[in-house]
Amino acid sequence: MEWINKKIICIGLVTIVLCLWSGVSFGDFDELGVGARPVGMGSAFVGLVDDVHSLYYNPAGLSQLEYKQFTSGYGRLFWGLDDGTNLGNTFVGYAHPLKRLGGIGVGWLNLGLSGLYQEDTFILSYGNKLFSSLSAGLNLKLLYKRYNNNQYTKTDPLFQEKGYSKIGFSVDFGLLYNFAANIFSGLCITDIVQPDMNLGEREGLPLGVRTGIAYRDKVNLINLALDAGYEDGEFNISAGAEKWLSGKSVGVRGGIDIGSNGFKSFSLGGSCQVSALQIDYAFIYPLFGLRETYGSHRFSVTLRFGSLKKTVSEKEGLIPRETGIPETSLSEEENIEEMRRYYYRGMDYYERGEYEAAIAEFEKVLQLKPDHSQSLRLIERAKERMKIRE
Amino acid sequence: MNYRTGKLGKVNRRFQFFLLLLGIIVVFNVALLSAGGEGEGEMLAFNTSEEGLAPPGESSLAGRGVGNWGYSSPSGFKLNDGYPRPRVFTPNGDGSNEEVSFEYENINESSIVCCIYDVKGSVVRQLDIVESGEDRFTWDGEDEQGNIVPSGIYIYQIEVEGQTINGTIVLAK
Repeated sequence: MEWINKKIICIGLVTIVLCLWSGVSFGDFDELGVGARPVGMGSAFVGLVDDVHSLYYNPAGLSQLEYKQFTSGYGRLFWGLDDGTNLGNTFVGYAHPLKRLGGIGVGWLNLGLSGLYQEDTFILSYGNKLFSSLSAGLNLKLLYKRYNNNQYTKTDPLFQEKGYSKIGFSVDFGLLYNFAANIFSGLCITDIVQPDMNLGEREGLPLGVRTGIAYRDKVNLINLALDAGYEDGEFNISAGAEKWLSGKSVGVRGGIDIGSNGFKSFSLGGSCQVSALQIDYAFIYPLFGLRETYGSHRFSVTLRFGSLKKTVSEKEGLIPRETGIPETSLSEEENIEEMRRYYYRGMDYYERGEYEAAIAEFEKVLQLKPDHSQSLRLIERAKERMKIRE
Repeated sequence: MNYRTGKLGKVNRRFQFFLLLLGIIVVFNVALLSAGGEGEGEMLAFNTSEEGLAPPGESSLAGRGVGNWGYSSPSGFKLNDGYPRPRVFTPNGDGSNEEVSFEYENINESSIVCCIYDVKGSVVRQLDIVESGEDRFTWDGEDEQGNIVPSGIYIYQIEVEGQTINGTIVLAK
């Protein structure tokens, strides 16, 4: 796999250098982030992509979905502007795992300025594994923007001749690589075809490049992420951390986002999970530049549904490598495969806070390998968490 | 107990779907409200004028914390009714709506700084206003390098006498 590593690094570097020379500028259909959970982590999500928001941040993440997910979220940006305008950001998305064929997703993103301007992005997304540790994904996007008619636009030759709306198509491409246990790296290139979304003067949307690295500790329920991006002549670095508490029923997170053009913000967020339903909130406040607003607020509701068992038993790939299960003897191959299935299924139950089910799965591993240390440890932890919950 | 099984599981699932539906309804209502049909003039209607609620399109913005709440500003600065205008401008050389204009009253002749930000919050342009008695300044859609910025939503922030006035404008190309 070393040659793949080198290839990915080369492709990434070449893309970044090309972007630096392209000299594009910024504006509409900007990457403002979606979902209260990713935005609560400073939008550092390209390497993490472990939920339905993959279809926005990095479509390659769809390859590792274990169950169907639906999300609906709204963000009020820069609340409290003096002119009373309402700048809102809505995202609705659905992601569907396709067993051995990866995952597919659809989404709708809207950015609206009350009474003046609207942007809509409709996303069709697909992600699948290329190799056991490497996934790729593609977004096909329909872009639509419209200006509202008012006393000034009515007499403006631009709107008279070109109308009030514009449609375009675009493509994003993403990669996700699990290069070490619990460590993932991602790359997402947005608006590769650089569609022209102006009414008059021709000008393509800028190409965006975003890379990220994430550490997922499924046992301690901690996620750490660091992203770096380039778009419109502007560099951006964001970092975020997330910790789940009380048996994954409560989550807290925070992040920072720093841009080279004087942009700095911090974000704080939280989640409440009731079984398969998750409610997220995030607060984002600029540390530099824009002042005296009440910050940006994001709220989203996510539902996971469908049978986990159907997918887990059939999926392989982007999962932690350090299971402690031996991989040597071919004569024990079936036995080992069975143990892996129990172990991963147990991990998934554990992550979802279903500790009784998780313990049952880990005990099945112990029946096959009584000294399996990870299963023993996780049974202990699951029991501790059950006590805390009680 | 596994939430997927048993009567409790069914009740749980119904509760989740109820909450989800509630969440979706709330989200869409808020989104629809945000997209709602406020016209350019109506959006700028603030109860800041001495005569009371200004009619649509004839409003004023004074210092921070004044606009929506209707008490008078200690600042000697205020934006005139209906400004900035036009809220959607098109700097394309056709002679129509080439720049966005800010007209104001500056009783104390204080120094004024206006910063333009993109919708992410990055600085696009800083305008240092030299007091010339005209009580008006404009933004022609150019960034610091003299290039016309891409179409999209921009946020202006005027700072004067330690107070801040901000709002949105749209550039179309």
